[in-house]
Amino acid sequence: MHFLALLPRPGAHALCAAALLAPLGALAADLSLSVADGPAAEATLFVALYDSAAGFAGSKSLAAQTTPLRGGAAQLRFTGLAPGRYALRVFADENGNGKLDTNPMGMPIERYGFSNDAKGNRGAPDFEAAALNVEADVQTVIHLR
Amino acid sequence: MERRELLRLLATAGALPLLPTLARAASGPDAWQAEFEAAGTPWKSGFATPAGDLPLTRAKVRGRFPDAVTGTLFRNGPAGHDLGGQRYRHWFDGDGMVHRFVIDGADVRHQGRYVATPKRAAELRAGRRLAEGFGTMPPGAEPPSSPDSINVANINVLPMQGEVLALWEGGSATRLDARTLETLGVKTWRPDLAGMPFSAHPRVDPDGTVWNFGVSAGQSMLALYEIAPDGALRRASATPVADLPMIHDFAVTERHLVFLMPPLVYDGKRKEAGASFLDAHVWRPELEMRVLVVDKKDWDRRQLLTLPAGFLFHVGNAWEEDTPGGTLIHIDYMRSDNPDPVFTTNREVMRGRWVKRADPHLTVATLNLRTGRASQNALALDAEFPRIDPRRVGLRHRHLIHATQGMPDRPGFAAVARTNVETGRSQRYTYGKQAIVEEHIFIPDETKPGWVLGTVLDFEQQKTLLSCFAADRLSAGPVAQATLPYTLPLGLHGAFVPA
Repeated sequence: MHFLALLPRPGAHALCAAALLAPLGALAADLSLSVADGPAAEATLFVALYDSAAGFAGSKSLAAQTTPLRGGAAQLRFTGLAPGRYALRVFADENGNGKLDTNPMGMPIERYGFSNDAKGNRGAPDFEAAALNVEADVQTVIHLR
Repeated sequence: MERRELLRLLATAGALPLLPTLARAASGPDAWQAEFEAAGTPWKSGFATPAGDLPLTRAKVRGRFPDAVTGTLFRNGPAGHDLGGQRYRHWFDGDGMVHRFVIDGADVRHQGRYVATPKRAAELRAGRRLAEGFGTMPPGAEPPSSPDSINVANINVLPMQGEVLALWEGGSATRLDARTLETLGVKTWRPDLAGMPFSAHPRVDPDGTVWNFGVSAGQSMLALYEIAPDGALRRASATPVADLPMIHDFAVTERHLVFLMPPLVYDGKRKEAGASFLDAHVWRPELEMRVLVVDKKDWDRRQLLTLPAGFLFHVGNAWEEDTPGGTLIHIDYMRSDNPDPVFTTNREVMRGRWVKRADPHLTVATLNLRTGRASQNALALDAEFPRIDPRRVGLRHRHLIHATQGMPDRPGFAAVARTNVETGRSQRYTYGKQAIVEEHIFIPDETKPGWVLGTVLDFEQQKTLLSCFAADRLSAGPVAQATLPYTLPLGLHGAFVPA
């Protein structure tokens, strides 16, 4: 019908499992993420963290992690974040090819989600819709769809 | 409800799920629902919503349906037009209901069952509309997460391998059990094609090969499908086409796929601004009617021709011949000067109003693939719901079965006709001023002239009828007719499966 490609391809950014991202001496916070409603079969959760609208739009993540999804659920944490606004983009890689597969019209055919469970209008939501305030430690949940 | 009372409830409710209900109560009943209920027009039963599935019911039969017509006629159409007091604003929005008419001589039984799409299931649970339709943006509807999340499976059927596919056009086909009409889930032709648009007018070659297409309006991409008679996907692709318009139907010839592209083009900015899918389309006659001809064997071999601007939903058939002057493709289609009816007529009926717009006319075009020139001839015959002998798909067919005789004072057509598209000679059977003709289809009978089978809403007696005619003696009237004890919502397209 009329759906834009939801997600730019995740870039080949180096994965950093636990990044110390805040400058030394600055206040630092942790962002804990629970993911639910993943596929029943085993899959790998890809998570990208963004700290700006430009980075979010251009798929230039600040940090990224992968973790196994078991029973459709997973938990992980980004630590030592400088206070600010952050957005998350996640998908469940079910076939192990390391990318969010789409059909030829650009529609995802694997499960995905955004922080705040933000939805776009026929495309990815914008950064502001997905952004979380991280001033102190924050816990959040994303439901895959 | 008094505003003060509402505020008190809001203050004390504390339970968020109550809020949508209260908000609706505050805004009062839906105006279109109220207008529809108040309308005194007898034809409005064609746009009423069956409360639920219609169990297998025996019809009263006059005459005897011929042996060649022993089998099942499957039909589909929008039926779920209102929910929770909210009425859709367009005929094409409604949840699809698939019907089967089981025909055996003097015995005819009918069953109707809503297609249990994810959209319908979620909205029934909520008791209200949650997502947009083709021409309606219900208040508070969330943007859809995928085309299939707003798929209403309400246009056509494609019987295949013991199943029936209920077809929409913006997303997947939906699989139904052919015996029970139970919904089995979406059809995925290949895992990487999940959720792709699969249009409602596949064409089936005489050898059983199924051709279809799909339009992604937002991506301006055209998908093509070739499916073997056993239901296995042979090929699929998607390629960009500039200013790809709304395309509802297409045609095949022996060697080509033919797309008539009316200049009704999707504008993503209008959609973002909140327009319905229909209203996001812009009439751009300067584009004319482009004709895209694709080589069946090599989909990269394409040719673009142009006809004068016009609008269509349906194509009858196309066929090609090699002449000293080049290969000619002949194609007939139901042409109107503009898309007004889809924007007005097909909306207003939803509140029981009738707004007359120009009827489509049977138009025969000739495309010269060598010179790239195209010409056409409009017959003085209004026509819709064209069907041909299924054995002649893509071949020279001569005869078209179609609805005709649009009425000035109420929706739909009063007659069914069989027209020779080459000579213009036409014979018809007029059901009457108080009948709305639905699609009639041609049923072959070996080497004999064959039969014509179709339904009509008789709003004088408030019954839906199924009639069978001798194809060569249409004007003599039905040889057999089954009368259901109720009316069905006016539907769109169907297919016959012999027993």
